[in-house]
Amino acid sequence: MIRKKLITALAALFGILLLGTSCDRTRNDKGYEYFPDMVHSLAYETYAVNPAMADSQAMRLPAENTISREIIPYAYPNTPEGRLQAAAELINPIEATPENIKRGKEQFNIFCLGCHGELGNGDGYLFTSGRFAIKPASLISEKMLAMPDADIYHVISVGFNTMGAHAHMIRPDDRWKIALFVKNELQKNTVN
Amino acid sequence: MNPTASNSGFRPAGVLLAALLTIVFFIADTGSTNAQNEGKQLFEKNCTVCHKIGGGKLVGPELMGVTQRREKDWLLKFIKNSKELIDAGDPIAVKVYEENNKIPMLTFTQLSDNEINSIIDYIDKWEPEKEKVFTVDVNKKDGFSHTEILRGERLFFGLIPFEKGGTTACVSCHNTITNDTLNWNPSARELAMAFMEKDGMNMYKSMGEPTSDVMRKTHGEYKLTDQEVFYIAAFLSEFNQTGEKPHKTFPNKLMLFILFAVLMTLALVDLIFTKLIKYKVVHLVVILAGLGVHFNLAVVEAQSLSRTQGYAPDQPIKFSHKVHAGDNKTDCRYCHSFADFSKSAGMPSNNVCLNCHKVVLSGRNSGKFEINKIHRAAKSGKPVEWIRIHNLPEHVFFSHAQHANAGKIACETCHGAVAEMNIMKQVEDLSMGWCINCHRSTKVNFKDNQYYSTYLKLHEELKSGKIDSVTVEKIGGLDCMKCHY
Repeated sequence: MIRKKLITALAALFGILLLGTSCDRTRNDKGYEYFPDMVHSLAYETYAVNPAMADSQAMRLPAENTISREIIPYAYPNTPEGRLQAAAELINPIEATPENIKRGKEQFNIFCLGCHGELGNGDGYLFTSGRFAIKPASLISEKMLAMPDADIYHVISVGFNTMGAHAHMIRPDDRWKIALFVKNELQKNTVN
Repeated sequence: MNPTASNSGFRPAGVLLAALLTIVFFIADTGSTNAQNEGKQLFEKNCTVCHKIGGGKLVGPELMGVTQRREKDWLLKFIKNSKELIDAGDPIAVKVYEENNKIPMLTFTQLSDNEINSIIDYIDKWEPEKEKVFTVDVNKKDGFSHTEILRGERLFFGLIPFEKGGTTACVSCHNTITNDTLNWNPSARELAMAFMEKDGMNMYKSMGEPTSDVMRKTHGEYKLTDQEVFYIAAFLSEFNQTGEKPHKTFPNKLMLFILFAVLMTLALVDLIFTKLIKYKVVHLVVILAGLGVHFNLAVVEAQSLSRTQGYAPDQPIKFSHKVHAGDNKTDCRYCHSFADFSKSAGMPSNNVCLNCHKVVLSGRNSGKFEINKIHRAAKSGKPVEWIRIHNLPEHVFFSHAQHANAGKIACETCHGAVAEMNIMKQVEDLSMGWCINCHRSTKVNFKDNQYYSTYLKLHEELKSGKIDSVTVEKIGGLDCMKCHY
């Protein structure tokens, strides 16, 4: 009898210990590595630290007076005059096909929706929930209805007022497509 | 009632007079500072997003000296409803409107006249701050005497009480050891680093005048004297050098391993030499169970080598994906905007953070401390050094573009429910078996996805009904050279 009890006690102890086995490592601990051959890159990976550089960043800017391939420098500054000039001089190179507008909508939903809202009237979730204190601009105001695609493209690229530049986040083509979506779908929906 | 009344050393009349004077003085004093404080708080809550005093133009114009430039009644009207004034054709209002790129100021009809007046008063009486010189140098260990450091340590750990109130010790919120649970408050080491940094935070100021709602709520009862702040600074500078103790967990697995090793030895010894237990089944069961446990532990541990499943390190900023992706409904690609085009999903630069945090200066959980780190990093031009969690060995090629853009795989498939994580964690083990399993079972969207239009034979087979779906395996997802080259 005693032995049976002993065995049950041992089984219980085993059970309890088995439950607690998952927490030997703290969450800050990566654990161990075994034969890390060809595991760590010899070349510097994206965002890696490069000790040879003064600022120890592996990511570099293009050398001075050069530009990267496929990058066209944007000449218009983030000022009211720059905005007017861009709106007057730039022309949307992308055609307003349904596919392009669909792509524009996808990109709009990622980058613009939070502030400018589903209807484009500036009632985005970030503003209506009180997280963002300034009311974002309405994209369907009379002023915006009168402006061409290039005006939207310019503001996405360099920002305006409290809105920051999004040129480093959205590709030029996609910026034009967002402009297409705003002009051809968002604004038309409100007019009708 | 009055502390001086209980003092028996004075004569009655003198006591009464002194008491009266104290009360009058006290009321007058708190009265004026309260109004001033209210104005300040209202200003910080409603105006700082667009205006600065003595810091130049932000969105709206600079406000230093605005009370001399304009009349107070006009200011009151303009703050309350600037649009009305502009529409009415008030020449100054129209001029201001046009000077500021025709961005109308928000209306503040929800504020009472008194409240707006207190804001105007605050702007009127505003003076550039007399910087309290903060004489603490992080690299100078001799800067503080041993007693000062010790005194600071005792204050920090709550061993001696604060002079003017404040019941909870600093250490109950500001950890001195690394912790496995979530703590929104900065740890003692983070505090030390923020205060000791050149042009960092001013300790006297942040303790004396809490600025964010979170700070006001938690630090409201603390009225530390300058001397106490100095002592704590002494301790923090010392602590910054010694560093925090690492958090250790109890080694359950090791204990289990040892326990069964001991049990098995005992069983063997009893089986061969002592023979106390008659039934040999007991020995057999113990040894088999022990072998099973040992084998299991060995396999599990061996498999987890080089894999960092469950890794959730403390990041330099207490960034919460739950707050950003979950509560704020921000799309993953807003910050990780290269996922569609690049091997790496992209870590957001300071600029991306500032798109919102230029305006959102105070977090709901962490106050201003964590968000300040972005502003300091942006100011100094130093990138934030995030710790990489998901990592594949160099001999595996993985591209986010192929999975997120071409394959249209949702981020959550591999990264887990990120929108519910306060501390980012590696959910999957990222092993080869895991990759292969997914490639075997995932069906490719052949119909609507242009990317796969060149697989003519498979398209034909689909049409003729020979196969009903195409998995990644069928388009070469299991070929060695697909990932290893």
